Amino acid sequence: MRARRRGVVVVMVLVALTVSLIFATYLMRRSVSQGYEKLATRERTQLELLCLSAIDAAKLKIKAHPTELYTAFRYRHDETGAKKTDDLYQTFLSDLRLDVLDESLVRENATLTARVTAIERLGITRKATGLGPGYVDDYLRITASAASRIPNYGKDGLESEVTMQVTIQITKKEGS
Amino acid sequence: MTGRVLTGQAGGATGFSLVEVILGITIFAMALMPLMGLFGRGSVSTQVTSDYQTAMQAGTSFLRTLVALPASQLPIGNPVPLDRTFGTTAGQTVRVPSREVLNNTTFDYRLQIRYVMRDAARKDLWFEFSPEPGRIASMTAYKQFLRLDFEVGWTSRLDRQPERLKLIMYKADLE
Repeated sequence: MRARRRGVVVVMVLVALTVSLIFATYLMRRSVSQGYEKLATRERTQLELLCLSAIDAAKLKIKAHPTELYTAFRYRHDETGAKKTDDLYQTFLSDLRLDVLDESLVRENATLTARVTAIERLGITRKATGLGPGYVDDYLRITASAASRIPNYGKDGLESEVTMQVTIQITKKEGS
Repeated sequence: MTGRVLTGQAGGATGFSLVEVILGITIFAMALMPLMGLFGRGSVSTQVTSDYQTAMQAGTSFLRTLVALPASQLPIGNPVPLDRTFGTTAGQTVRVPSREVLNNTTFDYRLQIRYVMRDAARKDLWFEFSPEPGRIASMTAYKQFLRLDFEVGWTSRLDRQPERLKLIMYKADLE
């Protein structure tokens, strides 16, 4: 009987130890995952800010060169046959990259990229209210994408990607 | 007078002796002690994460407010003196302190604003475009393309080591 009692005590102690070990493992894992989330959130926040910066740069380029953008659209969508080309559009987008606009960014973080990936006509136009006749408001959608990779984190490294879209209004001459 | 001895069934054989109970409690307590330590550590870890989130929110908030100002109202500097109000247009200003206490943690701020140049020999930034297929032209689109580096520093509650977070953003503006 005494041996059985002793056995019960041993079992109880073992159960207590096992439960505490399992719980400790859970807490340790949670702590590690909090560290991971912290890093992932920082990366995402930084990428969001870079996306906003790329969109800001795109807005300015559109404001500075609206004719070139609409020429690119025309050659991309409206022309037919041999005249149809994507080159103008790609050239317009080619320097809307933060690693191109800021060469120090590449030196600081070679895995970080942020760029405008698309500028699209939404096909919605309406008569402009602020200007005289012959002007319309057109709507454009700008898509920016940023990505980064921290190679020495976890098994496969930490990869983050953020894509952001905004719609802007531009006033242009009707038919241009 | 006869005394009564409280015993269980079969002459008290089924209960635990005092020594066994004390031994069990002692071992249980020893197992629990590191667990309690982990609880405390988990709590501090949560506070550390909270500090990090606060730093990130503060940095993002200041950066986004600063880039909303016209580029001409952003002073160039490394570091830019803080404890001042940026922006001159009424209703569109932001005060950036050099130090702030949030959730019982002191955060130090540092701001750097500089011109970004694709070509170090030129001061202005330009864009390339194609006025027609096969012809590439470039044109200075704007004079102001700024990079804002916002650093937040604080002391970790876990190991009292300095923590640092840097966020960057760009500001482009026509002159």
